Amino acid sequence: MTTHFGATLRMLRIDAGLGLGELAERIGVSSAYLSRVEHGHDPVPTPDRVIAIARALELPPIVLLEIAQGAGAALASYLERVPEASSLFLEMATRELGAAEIARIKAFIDRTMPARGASRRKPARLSELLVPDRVLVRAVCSDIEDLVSVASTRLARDRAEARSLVAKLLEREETAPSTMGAGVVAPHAIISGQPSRAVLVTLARPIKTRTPDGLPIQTGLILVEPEADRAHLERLAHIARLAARGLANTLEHARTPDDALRRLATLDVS
Amino acid sequence: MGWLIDDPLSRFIAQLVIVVALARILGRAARKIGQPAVVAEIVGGIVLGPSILGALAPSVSNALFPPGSLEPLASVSQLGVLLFVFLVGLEVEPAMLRGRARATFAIAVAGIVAPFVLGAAVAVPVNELVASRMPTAELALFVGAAMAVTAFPVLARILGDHRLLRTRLGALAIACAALEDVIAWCLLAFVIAFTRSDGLMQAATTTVLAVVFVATMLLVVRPLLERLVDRNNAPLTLSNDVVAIAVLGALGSAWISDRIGIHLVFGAFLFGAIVPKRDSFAHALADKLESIVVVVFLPLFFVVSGLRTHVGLVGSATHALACALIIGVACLGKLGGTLVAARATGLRWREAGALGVLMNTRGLMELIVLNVGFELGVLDTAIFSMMIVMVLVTTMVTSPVLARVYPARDAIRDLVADTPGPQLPTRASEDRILACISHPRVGPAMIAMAGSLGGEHTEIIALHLTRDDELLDVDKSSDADHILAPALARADELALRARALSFASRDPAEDIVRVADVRAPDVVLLGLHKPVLGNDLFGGVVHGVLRDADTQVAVFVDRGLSALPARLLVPFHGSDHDRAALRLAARIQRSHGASLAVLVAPEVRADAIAILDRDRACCEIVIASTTDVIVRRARDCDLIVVGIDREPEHLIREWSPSLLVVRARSNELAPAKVSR
Repeated sequence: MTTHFGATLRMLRIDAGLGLGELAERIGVSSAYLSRVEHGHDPVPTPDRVIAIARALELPPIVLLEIAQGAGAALASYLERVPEASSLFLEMATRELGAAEIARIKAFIDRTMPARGASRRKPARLSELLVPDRVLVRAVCSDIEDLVSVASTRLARDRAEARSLVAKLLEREETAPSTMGAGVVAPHAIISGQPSRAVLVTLARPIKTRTPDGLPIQTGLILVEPEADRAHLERLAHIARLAARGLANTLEHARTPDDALRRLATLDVS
Repeated sequence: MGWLIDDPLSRFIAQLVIVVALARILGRAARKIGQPAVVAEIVGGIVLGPSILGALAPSVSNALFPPGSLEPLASVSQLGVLLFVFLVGLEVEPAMLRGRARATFAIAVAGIVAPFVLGAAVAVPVNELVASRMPTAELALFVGAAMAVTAFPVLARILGDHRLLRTRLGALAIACAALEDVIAWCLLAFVIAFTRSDGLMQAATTTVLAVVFVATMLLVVRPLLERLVDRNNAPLTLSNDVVAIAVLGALGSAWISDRIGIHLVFGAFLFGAIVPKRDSFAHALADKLESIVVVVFLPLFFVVSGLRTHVGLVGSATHALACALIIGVACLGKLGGTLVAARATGLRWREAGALGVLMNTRGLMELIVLNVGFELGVLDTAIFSMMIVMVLVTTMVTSPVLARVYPARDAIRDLVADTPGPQLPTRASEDRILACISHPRVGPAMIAMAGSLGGEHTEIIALHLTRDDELLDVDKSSDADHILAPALARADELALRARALSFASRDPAEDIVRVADVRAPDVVLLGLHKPVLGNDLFGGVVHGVLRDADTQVAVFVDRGLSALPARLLVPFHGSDHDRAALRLAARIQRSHGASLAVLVAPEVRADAIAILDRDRACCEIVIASTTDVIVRRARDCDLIVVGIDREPEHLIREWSPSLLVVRARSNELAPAKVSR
């Protein structure tokens, strides 16, 4: 399952404050082409172009590659580019290394090969933002407005804040819909002076509304952040990546908030 | 040198090659130091002109750009300018101006008037200093107009570089620049007409013709173009025919504006501005033309400007002084004017300063104006050169100063999302009813009641809140589904529009109130199903909602109301809640043609009649208000609709029919709080 690359790209681009012509110029394509990609008239761009887009948006390329090609394919293309990595994986498979050994390998990597430059930042994880209090499972809503209204009951501290929050979420939704495809929608808003907060809502019955890939919405991740900085953009891209990994299906049968968070954790790895 | 270039055509090709290559190379260098490419291109033009190449290597300069050879160069560059200005017009979106109209207008006007006036004023002493023989009035007008222009495309590029496009400031800057462009072009058109004409009469004729022209373009040509786009919109590939029409339109429009007496560029710009901007049609068109225009034609234009620039002329003391004066006035007028106006409309100092700096950017547009002035013989070489230097300085200064005055973190803080957002739709009309359903068996009755309270187009939201710690049974497809299913089925039977809303809640009263805040129903309908015990009639959730909700609240106490109520009773004492109750009762009466009896105290009879209004004929109004009358008549009705301040407990404790207890909207209540 993949998210709809074009719709996600459009949302990220607008949130990053880049104009269509601007981004097109930076990656060396025509703005007409980019517009077609965003609206789904053209297929997903080649990996090189996707990497160029990621650089222009200052996002880790692998995240965007996953969104574009799906989790497996992104990894596969890395393995193709770097054959030594393939043989490493085969070694691990041959020795049947389990979680504990792999954790040691990872610790070794962290110790001896600290991440360079951009990837030195901690990867954006959602589990920090989601506590069981902020998870609603098996809700029933008929449209995205309902979804946002429901989320606001867990997101806002008081009624006045809830009202303005919903208004901002819906206003931003107007400018660039946050339906990413794969049954996930991520309404978000910037409200300064407050810590980052998020609410996860899974739906008992999917919402049939206009989505870029035609799949109804099953999961909503509503995000409120103080600043539209790189961390925010990375979080949005990460949500899209989780969607590509099948977030909606994984969460579909969660019965309690804790259950949902456990299932999310299986996908929410860097 | 001679054998390389010995006939006009090969010379022209050589000129093209050198100009385009130089422009590309210098452009990259400029981007590296954070300047927009136009700065490099202007510099390139100056380099190739008499100022540098001509001074350092006159033989080369003479071979490459002999005086007589400028004709083809100038013509081709003119064509490029026309197409470029057309592309600029394509960028202008009237939608950008929406919502910021007043501030934008004020700032834009100030940003034009101030530099124009100051520029015209400074033209006089400059004229003296330089001892040029230019006619003063025309010169003043031209210098004024030249100072008033802002470079819209360069501004857009700089905003993009500084990541300001999505900020409030960036949007405001673009809107102001677009508006200023339009005003400036109109101003320029008038100035040109004045200059070219013989006297005021001619200028007036030109103005009238111009107005007619603009009107025709807006009212006739634009709708035609919209129809063209509509037919073309499905695939985004433009046919060559369409491109031809666009170019021909731009050129034709340019020709007309020239014949009228204003400049060619005006027509091309106008045509670009009226091309419909929907569906990325304008984008696609711009894409097709942009590369060739920007890469090939524009550098030619800069070279032509450069060839007219003698930086050396600015060397002497008086000339340097005049140049400094020009630069100073240009900045003061544009920056100062914009700054003051922006502060006046309420921007902070930093923002206003940043806006001023942005508006001070001049670039290609300026150059176009200056070249027009040169061609019309209003600007001589000296003044032309000084103005070019001014353009360079003001444009080069913009990026660095902006970075100091308005660093990135300010920009991020001001992102569009931060502006006071839109209000939620507060149309609490009869359109929506929020029915809170707690058990499957009460669903159908609640839906039926909600249906009665609404009109034809009413939408019912069937809300069910689950307890947060319930472990949902996975055998059932969905718990909420199960609970709301009977209600939704009933809605279907009654042909009512209903939809389900359900989620886990820690505080049902609070959450019901919040949903009501956001969805703005006309009535929140609650059901009371627990047996009534003790003094606390409305406990728990119902109490909380009655206390906190802003909308009307109606509590339905169902005592076996099996069918739709046929006989209604309303005890009416004239309080706010009674009024609300009577209004709702009237609605129920209207829905089913039920009979409605209103028991009024004599002094409020008129009020009751006013509320019932045209339904009066179907209602029975009885003058009586004591409790035993109410109790007696209650035995004969199906539903009593009463305001919450009527202490309905005794109605409930006694045998009584079903009850609908109504609490009015909070903004209809007198300041005294409801005792419940």
